[in-house]
Amino acid sequence: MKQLRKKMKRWITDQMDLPPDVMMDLPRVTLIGNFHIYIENHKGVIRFTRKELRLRLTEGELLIVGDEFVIKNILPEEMLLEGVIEDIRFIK
Amino acid sequence: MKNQWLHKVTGYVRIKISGPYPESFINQCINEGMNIWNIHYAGKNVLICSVLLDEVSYLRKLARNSDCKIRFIDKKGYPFVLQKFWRRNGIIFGCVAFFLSLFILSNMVWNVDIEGASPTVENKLEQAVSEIGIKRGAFQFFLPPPEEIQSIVTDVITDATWIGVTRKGTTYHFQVVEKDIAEREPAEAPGHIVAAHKAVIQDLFVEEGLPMVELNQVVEKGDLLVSGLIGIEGNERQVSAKGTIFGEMWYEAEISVPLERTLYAVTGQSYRRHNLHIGNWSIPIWGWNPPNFEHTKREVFESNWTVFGYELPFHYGYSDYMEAEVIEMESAVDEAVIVAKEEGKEKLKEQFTKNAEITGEKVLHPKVEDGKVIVIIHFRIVDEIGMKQPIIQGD
Repeated sequence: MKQLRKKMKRWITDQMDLPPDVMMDLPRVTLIGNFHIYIENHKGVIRFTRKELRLRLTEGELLIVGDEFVIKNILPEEMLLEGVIEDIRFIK
Repeated sequence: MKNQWLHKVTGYVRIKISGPYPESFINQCINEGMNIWNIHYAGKNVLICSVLLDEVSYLRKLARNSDCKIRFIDKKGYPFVLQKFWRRNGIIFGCVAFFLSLFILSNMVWNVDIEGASPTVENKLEQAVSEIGIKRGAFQFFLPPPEEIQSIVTDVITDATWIGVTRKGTTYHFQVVEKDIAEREPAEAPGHIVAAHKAVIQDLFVEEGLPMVELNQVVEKGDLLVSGLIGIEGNERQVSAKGTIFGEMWYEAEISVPLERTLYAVTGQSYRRHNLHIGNWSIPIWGWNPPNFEHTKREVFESNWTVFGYELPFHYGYSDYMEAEVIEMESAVDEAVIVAKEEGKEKLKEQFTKNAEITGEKVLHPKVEDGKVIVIIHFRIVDEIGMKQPIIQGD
């Protein structure tokens, strides 16, 4: 049932040419240089250290690796991370 | 995202979260819709973050739910600054108390000055004044204004012609003018009035003495006008002759007026230099290089800066450099005569009293010589001609 709904959503998005992040609750990641990263549609922090930030997403996780991380601001849906960003990875 | 400086207005705290899983505390915070920012990693299982002061009360519940311990490590923002100030409220109260006492003390009467009164009047005035309430330590708010005091006091003190009341700061000044009997003018030495110039008598007003001349009579210099001896001949009394005698005189003035005069007219081009004057020094503060005009007319303006009636040792001023043009003016002979007349009048008036009046003028003959007009003018002047002359005893 859940799979079917997902397929429906994807199909509608494709057909109607809608932005996928809005329709499908996908994360939107904006990177400014290598020192600011702006993440929308996250679902909470799993782990946060100086060198690593792991975020929960609707599907899977987002791992950001770097150094001197500071969460400048965090809201239910969005967050701004500052630091030296070296790697961004999606983990299923 | 909100502006960070807004947090400073409302105030915020830095907290240290320690527990087995501090991230859960962060998640709960954002789920509750709390503002939380600047999250640092401070070691294993320890996070440091900022929380609004208004939302501190929720922290305890969230900490319990997420099994974390919270420690406050810093307080920031205006509420805390104000609190700090309030802790030193002695300074604030001191300042307020100082200004309050300054205000109260400067609105009290500290002195009553009485000037120009004899001891009896002074005593009376002191009593009258203290009845109104003007004494040392009284508040000025409850006292009538000086004008009213003046009218009250002048009514009470009958011995004084006038009492002036002024308030200077905390002192009341009373300036008393006492009634006193007018003294007789000192008797003048007996004397005659004689003519100071050769003249024709125009007007004769004798207060005391025996007039010796008539209207339209020609008198020579030194002629007796009013005699100081009155009474029957042989039994005369000596008085000081008094009176005003106007006589008409003639005066000839020779005035030369240059026909050509160099005049300067400003063209409108000007340059202003601003100066700061300190004592006798003037320091230019703006306008460093005035342009070089062929002819320059300079006008200087200086302002006056005063504080409480005292002139400050420094003030502002500016000088205008105005470009000027030479204008050659050839005044005609007729014009020169008019100028000469004016100059002659000026020159003449200096030699006579204020009451002198020029009744007539006649230009004899203008003569042009070396670019100059020489004019001889005949003036008729009416002025006082009386001059005192003491009666010499045994004369």
